[in-house]
Amino acid sequence: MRRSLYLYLAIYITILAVGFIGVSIVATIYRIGIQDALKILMISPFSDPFSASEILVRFTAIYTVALGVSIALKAGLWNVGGEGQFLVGAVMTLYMAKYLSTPSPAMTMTLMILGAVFFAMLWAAPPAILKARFGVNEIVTTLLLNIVASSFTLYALDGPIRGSGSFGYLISDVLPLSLRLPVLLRLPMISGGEVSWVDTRLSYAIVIILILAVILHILFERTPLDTHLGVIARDWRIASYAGIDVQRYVIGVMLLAGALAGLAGALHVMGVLYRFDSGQIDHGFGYLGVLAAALGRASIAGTALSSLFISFLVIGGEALQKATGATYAITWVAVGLMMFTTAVTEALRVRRP
Amino acid sequence: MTQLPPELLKALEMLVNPTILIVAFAVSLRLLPILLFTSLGELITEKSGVVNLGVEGIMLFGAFTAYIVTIATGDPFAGLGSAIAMGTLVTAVFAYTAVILGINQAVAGLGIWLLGLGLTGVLYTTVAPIGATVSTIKSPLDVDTLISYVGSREAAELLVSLTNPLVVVSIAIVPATHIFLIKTRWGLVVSSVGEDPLSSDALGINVARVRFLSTLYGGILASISGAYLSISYLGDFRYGVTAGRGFMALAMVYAGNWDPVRTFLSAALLSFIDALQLGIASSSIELARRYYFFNMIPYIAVILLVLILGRKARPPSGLMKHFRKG
Repeated sequence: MRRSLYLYLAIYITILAVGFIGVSIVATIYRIGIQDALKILMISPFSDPFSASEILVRFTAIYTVALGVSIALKAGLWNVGGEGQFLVGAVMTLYMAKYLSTPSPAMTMTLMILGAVFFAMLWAAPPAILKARFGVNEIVTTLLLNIVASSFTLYALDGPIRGSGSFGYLISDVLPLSLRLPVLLRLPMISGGEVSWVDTRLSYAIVIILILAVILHILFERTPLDTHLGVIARDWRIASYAGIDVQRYVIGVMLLAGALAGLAGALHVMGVLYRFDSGQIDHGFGYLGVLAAALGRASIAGTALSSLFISFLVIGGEALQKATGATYAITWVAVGLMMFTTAVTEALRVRRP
Repeated sequence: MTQLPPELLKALEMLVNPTILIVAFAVSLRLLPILLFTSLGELITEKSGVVNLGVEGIMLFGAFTAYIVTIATGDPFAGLGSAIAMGTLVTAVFAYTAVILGINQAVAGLGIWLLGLGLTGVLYTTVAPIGATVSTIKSPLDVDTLISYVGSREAAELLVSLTNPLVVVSIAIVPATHIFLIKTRWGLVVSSVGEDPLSSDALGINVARVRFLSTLYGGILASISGAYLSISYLGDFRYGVTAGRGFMALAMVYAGNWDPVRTFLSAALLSFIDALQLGIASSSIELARRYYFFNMIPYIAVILLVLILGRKARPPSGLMKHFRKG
């Protein structure tokens, strides 16, 4: 047991190292030394408390998507559609905020979240049904729907949720103060001997997500559901011989994955961005969530840890982009490398006699 | 009855216009190789029991390599050659890890895709000269001079599409793949390895080698598809230029039930839909402003196509199952 834990840690560190070192090597194209690039990647996220709080902001979004991916992964299914489901959630949140009128803001906010979750579930439904009924590869269908979701978001930003003062830019209105999630963390700023408290972008969304993670842990890792999904992951035929309703489980976990990605989009709009624009379309949280779940081996606690590391890498990567003028593409290099290394190390571990 | 928006009415009017349909057909012939090369290559890969989700990334590697080498040498065929070399290299890594090590093909494939997206994105903004024009692989005929011979623009467009060498090659691969799978011993070997690796191994077939070569072939065709996209169809490269065409190609194999002719028909239908939406979206300024609305259509069409044709699909039994000898 102890030996396998050490092995797991060694694998984990290897994968992270591949990601960090790989990006640093690629960064040399921008005429920066590997060591300097590594330094920016590793240290700048902690250089000031605002950057550090930003790690938790990204963590919230990545972990919410990753929770869904990992639950579907327990049944051997890959929901790569988080990217698009997140967008649908974000758009629906703003749509409801604009057109819904209820007696109290709390009620509106609840409905905004529920609406976002519901529509993201609808978005995840075609791949889920195609997989359950006809065995269509869910990775392909969820990925194709991501592209549809990007176009849908552009359509919404140009139509229904277009901001009143957008002047031709594809940008929505800002959420009114009453419909925002409260800020969790304020940081002291000292200027001219006066201490003032400044909001970070960290909202109560992280609390919601951590509570949700505990509930999902109890539901999916402390009940027979865990075994059922495990059997489905191994072989659908064996599962149905064992009396497990495979189609229902497959559709269920895929819809849940969609719902969580939609929730991530809703919380990101209500707690962090307060608006949405066309620049946010390639947010990347969907694919980062897939990496987090793969790295955390579909366990809820393991995924939390890898989501945290990935957020750290993303913030470091953004500092590197600022320092070198690199584009966001450089983050995908790291994510791709880490994904591939995860697959290779997993295979090597299994092969070991 | 509710009033349809005028833009939509105009779009519907265009759908019954024969001239536009012929032009759309000509354009769809030019779009076809992007899907066809990749899907026919992936078909052989999957027939042998491997799913290569990295084709999207391999297409990007191919597209970028072809683009940059063509700019450097001025010869598009040198670009095509180096794209194939690049595709072979990347696919060899995937094929080795998938077939020999038995890694999770889904995770590794997604990794290759994101790596391709990231690396070509970074290199494009650093290495590629800004605003460079690239010489392309194109038809020896020219639309403007051809009009004086054949009389109409539509016929000229059609002839130009049909004489693009890569369009011809991609269509020629359809019967070739069909004959390979049905009539040759090697085709039978590929299919049997994908259906039942254990029995194939008992018959003395080297399962790993067959799968490795089939995966390599699929990757090479994907890189040709990428090269076609950058140095023949577009004459340009952009970040993420393949826009999910690789994943579409995978869906085509499914909709075609692992049959080359049916896969070709699915790809042809989809290319036609794609050409129609491009034609409608670019026909007027008001419609062009809503390009994202039309852009959704091909992707939704793929899902519908899979939904309709997927009912009867039966994948190779050994698909995505690792076989380890001994």
